[in-house]
Amino acid sequence: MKKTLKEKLASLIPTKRRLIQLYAALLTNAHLKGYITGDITENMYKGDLKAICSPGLNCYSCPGAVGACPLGSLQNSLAGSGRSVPYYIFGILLLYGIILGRWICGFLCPFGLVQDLLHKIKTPKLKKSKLTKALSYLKYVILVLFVFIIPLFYMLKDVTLPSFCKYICPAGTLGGAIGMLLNPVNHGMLESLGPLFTWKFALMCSFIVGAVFIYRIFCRFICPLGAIYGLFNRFSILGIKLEKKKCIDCGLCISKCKMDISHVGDHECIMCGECIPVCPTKAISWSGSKIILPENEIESVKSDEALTEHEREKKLSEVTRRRERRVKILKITASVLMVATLATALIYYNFFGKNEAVEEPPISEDTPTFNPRTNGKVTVVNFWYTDCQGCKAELPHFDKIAKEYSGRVDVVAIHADDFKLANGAALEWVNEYYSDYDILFLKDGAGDAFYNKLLGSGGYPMTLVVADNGVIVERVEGEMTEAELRDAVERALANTVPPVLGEGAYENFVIFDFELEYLKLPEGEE
Amino acid sequence: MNENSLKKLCRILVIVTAALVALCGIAYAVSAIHLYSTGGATPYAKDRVSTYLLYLLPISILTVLSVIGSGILSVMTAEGEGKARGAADKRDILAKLYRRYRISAIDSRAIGGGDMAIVTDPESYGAIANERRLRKLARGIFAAVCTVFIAVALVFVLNPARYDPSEYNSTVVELVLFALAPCAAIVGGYFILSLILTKSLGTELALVKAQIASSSPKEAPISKPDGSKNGQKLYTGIRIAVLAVAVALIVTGIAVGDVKDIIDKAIRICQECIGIG
Repeated sequence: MKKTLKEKLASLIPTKRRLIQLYAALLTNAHLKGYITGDITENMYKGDLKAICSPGLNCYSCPGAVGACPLGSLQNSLAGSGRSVPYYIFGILLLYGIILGRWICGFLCPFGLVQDLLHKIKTPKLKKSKLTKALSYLKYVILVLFVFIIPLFYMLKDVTLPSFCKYICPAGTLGGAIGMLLNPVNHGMLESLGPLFTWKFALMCSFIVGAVFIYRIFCRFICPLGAIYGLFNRFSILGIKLEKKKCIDCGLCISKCKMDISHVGDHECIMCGECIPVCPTKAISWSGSKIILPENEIESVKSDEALTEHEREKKLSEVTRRRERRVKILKITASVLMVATLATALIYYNFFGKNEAVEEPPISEDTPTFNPRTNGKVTVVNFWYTDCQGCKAELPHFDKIAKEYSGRVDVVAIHADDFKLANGAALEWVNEYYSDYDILFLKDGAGDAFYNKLLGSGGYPMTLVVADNGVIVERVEGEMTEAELRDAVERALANTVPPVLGEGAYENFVIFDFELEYLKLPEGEE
Repeated sequence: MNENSLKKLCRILVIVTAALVALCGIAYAVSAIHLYSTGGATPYAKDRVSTYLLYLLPISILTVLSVIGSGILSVMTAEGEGKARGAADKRDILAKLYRRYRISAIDSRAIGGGDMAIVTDPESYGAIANERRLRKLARGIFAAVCTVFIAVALVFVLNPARYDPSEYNSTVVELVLFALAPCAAIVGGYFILSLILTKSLGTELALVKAQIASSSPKEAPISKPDGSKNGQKLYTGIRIAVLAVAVALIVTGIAVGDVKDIIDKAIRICQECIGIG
């Protein structure tokens, strides 16, 4: 039957669930300035609120992200668990799980929203079957292997490897990588793209295309976060619950559901609520609603035998009216709170949120410092940190160059201002593994002040080649091979006439003119 | 040997298996600790580990054989070809079995549509029983493999020797062993427990029939017991306990500085994490 124009327009209005999904996606990516300017390092949100994990899958390298990704945080915490148990992230996952379970998947996850929208494209769809049911257990394998085993294994080798983020997660590729690369400001990153990006891009495209034909392909078969939350489904405070007393085992809920559930509310159920209207006996409902709106008063009136028929009817209508008024007040309050929260978040993160480097406090005169500008030699500067696997992989090459070009080239490695620098773990690492290196180990300023001032956008590792007058003549993002590093050094040394600042081609070049403190004093100066 | 004797033997063997698995685990754990405490700089050197493994081999073999034996006997003595009588009886049993075992022979839409032709086929029960038997056999074999694997992998992996950080691409074999050890522990443990604890299909059928017999057969839908009050209390207790643990973990994490670690990572672009570089 043809739809009228009114019906067509009505079908375009998003459902309540869709509105909540859009709201959650916007709230978790409220730092819109990151998308607009594209200059991530300058304009990425860096405030303390970023320690709060967003409940759904949302990469913290996404330009607009205002919270940490729970999966990324879990993997990085496990990678650092050789020193301490990751209490915080375990607590966060328990909290989200026990309160919401996989309701997060159905309502709050931005990547879930992307898949839902893609699935609306009119194509033939793959129905669920025994095969999809079997495949739904794959996400538990991925959870154990990529989220726990591999990071823990490499933790034993003091290497940080968030393997799910690195090899699988499409949310990071879509939100983080694509989100940054689309902005012309970040086109310098294109040079860093390699086989890893090809793999992740291909995987992301597979999930996007797959989502058109297969409902929630990533959530059903791959997502380890859904696997974790699914374990709490049975116990979660809010969610879908089935009243066994009313259930007649007709199976209509299972037929209607597009996920691979065995029964409503099991570990595969994403609590979308689409089974509620199809149940003929109204056995399915939202649990947790009884916390706010107990049905006891209606039931007690119905079962009160002391009342006459007329009195019962009167009292019932009174109780029902009161309940409806309560529901209305709750709905208005919830809507107002949601709008206020979103407005506050948008204003705070885009206008007041911390995203600039902290002003560097002055260094005392007694503190030994190093300045590439006044060094008098070509300096190779590498920005790194102990949790960066790529950074540690390339440091031996820098040491080789330092030894080979000793006397002509100085190689410095500047450690980022992170927790490991502050608590001494970075120095411990350097003393343990790099004690015989000829590299000068320095530390960045508070909030990575020098990196941000010099470079603006970029990631780690970052290598600069600085001429003997302090002019940065080359900048390379990402890991370097020994050959690439040697070539860059030779080019800088071959410049018999060093570039002069402000003239000709070097008019806009940056001068590296900062005093940097040593992380580890060189031999002889200790 | 008649069926009753086989069942008795099976029960004894399952208990013996459980004891042997526990003993095996203890033996390996004690060996690992002893190796570590007496080994000096390289406690898990290959020659030392081989010597200990030689001593542990007999109990390992015994455990494996016991697990396989109990698995096979469990399958052989599995009950479950009861035939239900009456439409309501069958519908209820099959719906329960569908939920519990996800049997492919039953069409859920047929149950919903009231078409009893498919669901009232008593031969389906034979298929169900065969499926259960195969599962039990698979569990037994898998548990046996897991037991040995856990032990060997744990000893190998607990080597505290440090690797050169520049050689961060470790061997695939090590990673596989490390990965499979806890997986095997979890899955093997689950299978062993399920072998011991799962009721047979026949017992399930008997329970459901007893339930139907106690309620009026003319009532539709068939009344089911609602969740017991004790069950509700247990769930509430679990929620409160988990909430309390979650809050305690979060507070502890903030106190020890976990939050700083997370912020440090969150405010930097990890290029390899997003696939760039």
